[in-house]
Amino acid sequence: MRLHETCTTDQAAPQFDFEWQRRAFGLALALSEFGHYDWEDFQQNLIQSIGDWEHAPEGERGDWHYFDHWVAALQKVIADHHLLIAPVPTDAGDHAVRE
Amino acid sequence: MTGGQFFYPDDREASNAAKVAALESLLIEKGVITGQTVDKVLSYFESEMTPLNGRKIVVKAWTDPQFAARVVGDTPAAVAELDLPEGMAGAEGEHLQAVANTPGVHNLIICTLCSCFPWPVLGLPPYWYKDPVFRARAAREPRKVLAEVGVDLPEDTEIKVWDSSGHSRWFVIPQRPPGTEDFTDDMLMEMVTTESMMGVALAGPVP
Repeated sequence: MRLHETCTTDQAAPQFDFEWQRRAFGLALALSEFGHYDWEDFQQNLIQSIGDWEHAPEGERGDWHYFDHWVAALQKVIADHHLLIAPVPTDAGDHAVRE
Repeated sequence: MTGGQFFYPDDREASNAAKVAALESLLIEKGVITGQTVDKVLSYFESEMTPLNGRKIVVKAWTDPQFAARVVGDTPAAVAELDLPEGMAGAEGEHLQAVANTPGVHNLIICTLCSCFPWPVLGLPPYWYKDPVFRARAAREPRKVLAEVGVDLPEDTEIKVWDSSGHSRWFVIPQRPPGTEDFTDDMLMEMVTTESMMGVALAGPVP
């Protein structure tokens, strides 16, 4: 399949090019799954990061790298929820316990 | 670095890898997650959230007209009737929305904002779904994009483009291919590709 010059679809292509992308994906999903933030919060950051890139002038924004935005969104949601500064306790099943 | 927040050093892959590894280690150290958490989540996601779920839903819709009506009317309730794996936070089944192709209407799913995708039924999106050019062009000129990927639709077929969001994760029930009236469910399953459930292909034998 060919969508445009730089985007040929290839059904056999792996979904992650690098293991760090897979771990960044898993980490974002895991923190949401175990109650440390709502998925929406991560998603809004992702939308914001991608939106900033799309609205930046072409000469200034660098190449498109989807997972750069993913990592930026992950860093921001972790910071916004103070997960590294004031982590909430977790129960026996590793879920965040909210007071 | 030439300035500007979107310029990257040449080692951006290494830098991203280091950032992600550092985040995970810190979160483990702080007791937010354990050393097994990410692997457990990935393993569940990769084994259970796959297009196999979507293919089962489509074949059920092809073979049971009442289910076909229900899956479009209340997708999560209809999907819950089937014996599929439980969802996960962030991949919630409650936001799934099915749309059915008909002789006069072809549906295409995109996400113009951030590449939302119906993970529980289709797994992870192909990389081109996340490409900004695909996302923009599919919204602006879907008929042309579809023709380029081999889906030539008659002029009088309406094309509906569904933009996914956190609240609606669309997937397509493609039309059952002609000549499959005598097919078993297993044979029908072979006709349902991930692309056909995104609307960028028709259901049919894999070429």
